[in-house]
Amino acid sequence: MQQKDQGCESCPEKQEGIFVDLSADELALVSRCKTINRYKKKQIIFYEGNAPYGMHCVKKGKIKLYRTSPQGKEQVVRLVQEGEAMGYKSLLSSDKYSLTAEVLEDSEVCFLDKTAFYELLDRSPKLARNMLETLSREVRTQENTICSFSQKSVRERMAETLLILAEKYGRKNPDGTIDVLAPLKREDIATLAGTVLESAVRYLSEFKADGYIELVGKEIKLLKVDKLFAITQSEMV
Amino acid sequence: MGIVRRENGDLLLAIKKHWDELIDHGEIVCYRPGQYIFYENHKALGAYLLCEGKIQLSKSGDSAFQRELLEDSQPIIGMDYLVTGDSYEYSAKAVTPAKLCYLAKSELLKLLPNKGNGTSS
Repeated sequence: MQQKDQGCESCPEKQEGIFVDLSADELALVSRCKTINRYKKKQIIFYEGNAPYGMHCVKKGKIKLYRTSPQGKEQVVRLVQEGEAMGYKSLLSSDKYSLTAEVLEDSEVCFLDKTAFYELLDRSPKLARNMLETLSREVRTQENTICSFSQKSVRERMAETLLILAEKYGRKNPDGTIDVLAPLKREDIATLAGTVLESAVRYLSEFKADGYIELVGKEIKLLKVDKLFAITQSEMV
Repeated sequence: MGIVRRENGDLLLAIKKHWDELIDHGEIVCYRPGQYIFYENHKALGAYLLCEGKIQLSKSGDSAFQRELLEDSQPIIGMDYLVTGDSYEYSAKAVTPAKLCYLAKSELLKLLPNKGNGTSS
């Protein structure tokens, strides 16, 4: 289903992304050149290995970015939420997409093609600065992930992954519990934590038995965030 | 449905005139069998020239259809939707490994004097 156009000037999600604080003229240019589409769950926005032909910005919904191994196994690398951009790193580096973007739930995604993207980048030092800030944060996140994979136990990484999911896709309840609103498969959670499905399921069951989380089907509710956080801090190996 | 409707005459003439330049600006994108180039009901992000392989166009619902495009005729896919601003009436999926030249919306619409440097969705 195609989405009725909304100007970028009034998009609340831009406060979360690289278009924050752009001038009215710059936002008007984005609005003129962008195309907005509504994707259904499981549809693919772009494929790993293809030449990038623009950048995408998530207006609504959730996207997972994954790499597929030669054996066909998916490794989830990043989760993208409202306001976040995808695909611009490949544009900037003139590399092919290193990841596939798959829609986790019905989503609205804006697209700016390469020509318009570079025109905007040439005009807007603020956009360039925002992108550098975002890239720096992503590099720091990846550094933390590398350290986490090499220095933390699987139990710690599973607790950490649940906290990251809660931060990204969580809905806080009045009683302090957090519903993780991420329609991820257990396999996806396992790869985010850098482990195999069996270990992920085992630790989820253990956290449930300890009363730290509640599992209802695919849904995960964090009951004791402080306990999960303590796990991430306590078991350095 | 159509690949390029004849009523888009101005654009067709402009495309013919600037064809080599457009292709130079195009991005070669490759799709494996089963991968989607675009989905039904989506707005066009650009147009695609089929260079290699076989593409299936399909529509769901009451007026469902399937049709295959081959590289032999070098079809341009989705051009009319780009010009009119209508949403695709069909999805396009690679049947065999396919190579397409993606032509960006903003590049194509620059060819139309009355379209400026782009249109909103």
